[in-house]
Amino acid sequence: MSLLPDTSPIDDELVRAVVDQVWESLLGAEVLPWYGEGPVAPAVLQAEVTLTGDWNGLVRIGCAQGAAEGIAAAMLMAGADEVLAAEDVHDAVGEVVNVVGGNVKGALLGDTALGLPRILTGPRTGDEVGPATAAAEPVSRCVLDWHGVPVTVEVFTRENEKECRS
Amino acid sequence: MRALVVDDSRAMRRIVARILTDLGYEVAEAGDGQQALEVLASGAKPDLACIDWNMPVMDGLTLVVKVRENPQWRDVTLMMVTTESEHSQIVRALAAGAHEYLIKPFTPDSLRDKLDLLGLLPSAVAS
Repeated sequence: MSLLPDTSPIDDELVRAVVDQVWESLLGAEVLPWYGEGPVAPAVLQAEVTLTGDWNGLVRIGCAQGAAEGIAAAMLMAGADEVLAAEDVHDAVGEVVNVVGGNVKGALLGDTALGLPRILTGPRTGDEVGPATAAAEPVSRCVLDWHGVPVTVEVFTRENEKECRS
Repeated sequence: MRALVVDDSRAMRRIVARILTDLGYEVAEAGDGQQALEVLASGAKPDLACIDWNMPVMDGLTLVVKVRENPQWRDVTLMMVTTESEHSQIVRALAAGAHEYLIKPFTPDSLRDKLDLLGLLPSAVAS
């Protein structure tokens, strides 16, 4: 039994509270839960940011390209006829996951560092995870409705991996 | 008044720059701390620098330290605009020489309030 304090207070309630704040302040949008039927389609775009230190894991946002473009347009207050470049869309969604990750980090005890966001593109299934999520276990998963399209916000931990190493 | 917005996210630079421009600032941008130093060294000294913490090449805390080391930039007001929300990080930034600290996500009003506290609202919009 560890004598260290619990440094993993992350759960769906916390992540949802962070997402609420980020969506409202950064995107000017209310968070709506996804009530779509059937499994959520594989995300074409994933934005990830890692947390390393006393707590190890990552925060990931996954969505279809159209939803990513909508999120970027909302964040940048783009005009209706403004077409955003792919790099601007990736940059915007990367910043969203960065802000979510930073606020998740703020809820942790101990000394944990936030990495830089990275973008993965191409179809993926929930089981097909990138290198950053190898050996990671989900601790929270929220599926949100972005104008009729699902957007997932997930937090993974690699605490078990850390324990195995130590 | 002049401002320098330092953030590796173009989207965040655009958001901060828009708010500052609406308040009457003339805004320059830099994508990391090193670029910010180059802007400052070019002679375009701003009244205010809004600085992200986590950036490639040179992070915001290092930038704050380097700006504070140079007497020519002593009167540039430094405000961290970052997701780093822990008390210990705020203390580190202020100890390094930052004057104010704004946590992302923020609203235009919260940025304006910080500028008001710093006495950096252009006179045309100051309440």
